[in-house]
Amino acid sequence: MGVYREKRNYEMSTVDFIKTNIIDDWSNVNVYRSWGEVSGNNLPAVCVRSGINIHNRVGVGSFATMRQVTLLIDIFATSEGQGLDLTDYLTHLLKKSWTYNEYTVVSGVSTLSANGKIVCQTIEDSPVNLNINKSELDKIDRYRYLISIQCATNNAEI
Amino acid sequence: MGFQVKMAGDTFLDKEINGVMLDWKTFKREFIKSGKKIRKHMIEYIKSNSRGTSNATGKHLHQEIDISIMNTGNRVEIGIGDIDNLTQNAPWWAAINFGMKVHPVKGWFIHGRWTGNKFTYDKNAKTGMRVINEIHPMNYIENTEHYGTAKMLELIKKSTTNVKRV
Repeated sequence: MGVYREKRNYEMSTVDFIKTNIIDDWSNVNVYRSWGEVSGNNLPAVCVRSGINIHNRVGVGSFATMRQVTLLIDIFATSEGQGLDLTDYLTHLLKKSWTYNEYTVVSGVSTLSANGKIVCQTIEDSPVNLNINKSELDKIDRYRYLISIQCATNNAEI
Repeated sequence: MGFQVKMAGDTFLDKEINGVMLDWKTFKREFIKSGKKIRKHMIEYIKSNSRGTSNATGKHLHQEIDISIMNTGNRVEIGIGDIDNLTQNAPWWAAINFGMKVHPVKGWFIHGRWTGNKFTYDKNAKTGMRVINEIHPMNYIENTEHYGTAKMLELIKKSTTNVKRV
């Protein structure tokens, strides 16, 4: 039996939240948890990764901490207009809160149980500028955007 | 009174402090110290996540992360990672930060632009950046911004407890 720990729970919870919503509003946008899964054959794609985590002590003399997570969401679009709209759509979706799930995997089947909410504290989006002419880039790197979110569940970790 | 923190050309913290009397001299000193720690954090982050060979000669990205401080009477600003300097001396800075899925097959970066020329990597002198596989994103800028925001907000919280009310 495998139990996901906090970073993976954050990533998977965000992936599941985006998948649930995007299916109603967009067609054929793939959502992944790892950078390696995105290729030229599965665009447009959204990839969710965890960045730096900061652990703040909850109080003087306490060993319990509260985690602040940086989530990095890469958008690989097939056109500039699509990239701009998808970035704005995801920013509106993720600037509030979504359910934090804890995942358990048994024989390849994952079950989840909700345990609180992930709350967005700050959100930033930017186009990815690689300092190379777009005509010289492959299509997968041509229309890319990055959303950076700082979020927390406000659950103390002992 | 106000302060600003910029990273690689983007401002991520810009605050005006109005209507409250702080120990401004101490705050400026601590602010500049925190800015230097943020720069050090970025450099250590790049070094510890770098995949390049330790024997590589030539310029390294972490060596080109500079800091500029502007300190006037009522405002203090910090800039970390000058874009012009990075584009000149470490033009692969954006590719390392954001990653690249498909590498340009042959050639190298010159002044921030992919030249598309034939293979010009010099194996003996170990100069030029030869890209073989996809470049995994390091996101050193975004990660340092998160670290920097937490550090600066902690400093503001500490400073406002010593408020001198007029």
